Amino acid sequence: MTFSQFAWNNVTRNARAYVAYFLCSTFSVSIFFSYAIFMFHPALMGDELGMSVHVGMQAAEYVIFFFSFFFVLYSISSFLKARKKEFGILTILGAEQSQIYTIVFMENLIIGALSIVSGLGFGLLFSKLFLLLSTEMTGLEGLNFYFPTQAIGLTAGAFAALFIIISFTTTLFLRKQQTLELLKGSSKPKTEPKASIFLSLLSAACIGGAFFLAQKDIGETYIFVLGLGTIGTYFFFTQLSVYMIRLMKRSQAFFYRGVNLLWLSEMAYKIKDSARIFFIITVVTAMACGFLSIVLSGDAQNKREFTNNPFAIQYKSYDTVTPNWDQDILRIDQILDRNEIKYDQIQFEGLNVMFEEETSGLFGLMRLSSYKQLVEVYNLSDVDVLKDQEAILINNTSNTYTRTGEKQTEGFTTYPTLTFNTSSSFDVLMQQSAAMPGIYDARLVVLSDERFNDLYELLLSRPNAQSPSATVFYIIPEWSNDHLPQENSQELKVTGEINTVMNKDLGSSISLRAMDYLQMKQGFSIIKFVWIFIAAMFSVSSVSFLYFKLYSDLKSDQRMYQSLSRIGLTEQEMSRSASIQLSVLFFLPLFIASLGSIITVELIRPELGMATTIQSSLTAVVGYFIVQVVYFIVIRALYVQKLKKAMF
Amino acid sequence: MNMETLQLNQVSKIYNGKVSYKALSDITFKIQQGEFVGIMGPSGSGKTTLLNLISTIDEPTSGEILINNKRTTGLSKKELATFRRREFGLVFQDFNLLDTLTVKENIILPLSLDRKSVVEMNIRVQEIAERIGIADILDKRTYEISGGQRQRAAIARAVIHKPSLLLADEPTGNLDSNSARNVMRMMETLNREDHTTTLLVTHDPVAASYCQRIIFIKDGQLHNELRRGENKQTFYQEIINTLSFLGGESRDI
Repeated sequence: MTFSQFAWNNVTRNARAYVAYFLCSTFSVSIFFSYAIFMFHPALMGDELGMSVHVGMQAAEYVIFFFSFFFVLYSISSFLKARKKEFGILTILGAEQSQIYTIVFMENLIIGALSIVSGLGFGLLFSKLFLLLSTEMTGLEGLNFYFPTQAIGLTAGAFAALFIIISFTTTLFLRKQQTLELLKGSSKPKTEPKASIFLSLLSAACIGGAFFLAQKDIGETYIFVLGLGTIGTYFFFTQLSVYMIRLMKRSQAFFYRGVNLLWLSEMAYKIKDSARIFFIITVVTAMACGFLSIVLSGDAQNKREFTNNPFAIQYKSYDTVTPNWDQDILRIDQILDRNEIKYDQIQFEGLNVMFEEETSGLFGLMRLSSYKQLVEVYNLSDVDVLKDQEAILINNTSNTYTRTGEKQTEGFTTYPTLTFNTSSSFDVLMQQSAAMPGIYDARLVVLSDERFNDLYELLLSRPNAQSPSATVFYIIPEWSNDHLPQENSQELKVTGEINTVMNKDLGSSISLRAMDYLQMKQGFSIIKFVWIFIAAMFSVSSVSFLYFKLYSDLKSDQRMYQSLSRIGLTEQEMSRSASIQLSVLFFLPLFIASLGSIITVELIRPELGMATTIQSSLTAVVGYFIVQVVYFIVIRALYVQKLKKAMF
Repeated sequence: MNMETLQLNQVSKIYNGKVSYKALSDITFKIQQGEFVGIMGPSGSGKTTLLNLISTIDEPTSGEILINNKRTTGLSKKELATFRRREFGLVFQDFNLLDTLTVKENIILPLSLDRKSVVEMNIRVQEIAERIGIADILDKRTYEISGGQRQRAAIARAVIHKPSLLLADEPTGNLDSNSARNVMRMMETLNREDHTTTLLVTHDPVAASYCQRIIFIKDGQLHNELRRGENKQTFYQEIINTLSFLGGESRDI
């Protein structure tokens, strides 16, 4: 029997031991592959989805690969741990180190190759289902089955590389181990986990610092908060948690009470053993929840923008001097008329000027007559006449942000007067704040029509003058914005027609409420699908990590509970002790991850220009939690059942 | 009046399988309160089965077992567990201490499961540890101490709640002769001073010679009984003689 035959036989004849490792690898491959089938789908390859969606989808594939690497690495390391004894026996029989490395290396290659094949097989088998699911969730049409040559190539290539790298790294696990240690395997008693006070304090300081910084605003705060939080979390699992358990053990009133003695003393070992896994689970969960909540927030924001927008069509021209823009308006009117749609049109010109009282930004100027048109739409105060020296100032709350990126609704600076030049100074008759979606000026100044015209002439006569703008709003009562538009609505059809005839030059912009909404929604639904998929994958994998851990500890746990059962531990007490332990293992990383993701998303919210994220964060976190609770219930039941079997 | 701590009435145990196997048949004996009794017999004679039946982790096929005149058959699993924890103290060949706990925590485990007060636990553990001579290693872990110390810690755990019956299964099996003698002396002292009723199952004639009475079983049946006289050395010799009469045990001497 040659050595390669030996390696082959080792895998095929000892299949049971390899099944877990093989299944994990297959799982990773098929997840990656399923996603690749989706990503490379011809219906998604077009340009219409936009750059950001494509980049988002590719990023997700990287994340899946990165995570697969850890997943496979972890499963192989626990698999090798279980086989230490076998390597010890081989060593005693005279196998050289290099021969053992070769066995491990070749086994890995065999399992890797098999799992790529079976992963691709499973992926193909379920791809129809997966595409159906993605059609359902993204609302994209035409995600039919196709033969995914590109996806197969990418998956096979990526995982072949992964298994080769892992095969090389695994031999490192086996270095520097004495034969005796190998023979004893994992059965020797473990020394008590140590925690360094310094590193525990560092962890507490990092987490505390992150919380403190989160309150402050030092620009790009979230990077520091994320950094500190990540370091803090790492040392939380490796050091602080162990230290905290030690402190809890000091309280005899608590520690010596009932089964606390059992689970608390075991806890430190279990946490320390899988501290790195907990760290990865936490980071990954926080990431998944975070991205999901950003996507959900964006989606919610999109809906809000639709329902807040009173105008079905907004047209804006930035250059009214070359009067091309009224052609556009004419075309819009024609299409609406042809479709027999009644509409109100509000049309006004605007200027941007700087006043002496405020040097930090421009003010929009508006005629009183335009203002009167807008009074009803925006719920503004009625004003009949303005004298020459009078002005109204409006703070547009839908477009004013505080320094931290919050929408500003109060605390605006008051200006008694606004001075343009010596001849044009205005008393502010009234200052009001109102939400004016569709208008992008943060501050609007309303002047009498005559004064506006004077300033208009004056500004135009200046060299390098900024052109005045023209805005046209269409209010179409038939097209209500109370309900989100459907794919087959008249609004969408007609605005789609308008969209095709518009000049798409730089001087003007048109926003069509229903179309914009649906386009955004489409993009969001794809990204949402992608991240729900990734979150689901993370959640399954983190549960498998824990399951591995439990499974590898099961024998020693059974032995422990058996001997405790002899001296009179009841099944109820065992169940309580095991359940407390399990729930800490399950929910401690999840709890920290939830906290981390909610805070992080809240911190980067201003950068994304989103109004609120808390609700979406909670939705994402609670959703994730519910899934984990289901896993917990099932796994706890199985685990306790297994332990009961060991008891008398 | 003599109080019977343990009473076995015609206890039989049959293991059903492809071939039914009668491990114990019609075992009847009594142990009075405060006695120190040994059970000996060749391998396969049913010692372990007997101990499992007495310690309620196995049920007899027929017959009854009474502890302090209370039947142990027909109790629920939970009742049995609490019964074991209150009435028995158990000492094993492989100590059965938890690696994750210190010696002290191992010893107070039975009290902690019964939710005794911290003050009481600390007093009792200190008292027993001083008597058994392990007061200085209470904060050590089980892998940091010797086999003899481990077995003494196990004995401390077995008697800290003042059980009605101390059951010891080959307590000297994993110990060198010096530690074994120490452990046996310890058990003898506990028996004499606290009147802890003790039942010892052993192969080791030296350990057995600390008992007041030895019940020999062979092939699942009671064989004979020896009582200790004045002289321990003579008793030891009698044990050896009986064992060689029972046969097949000389290699264990």
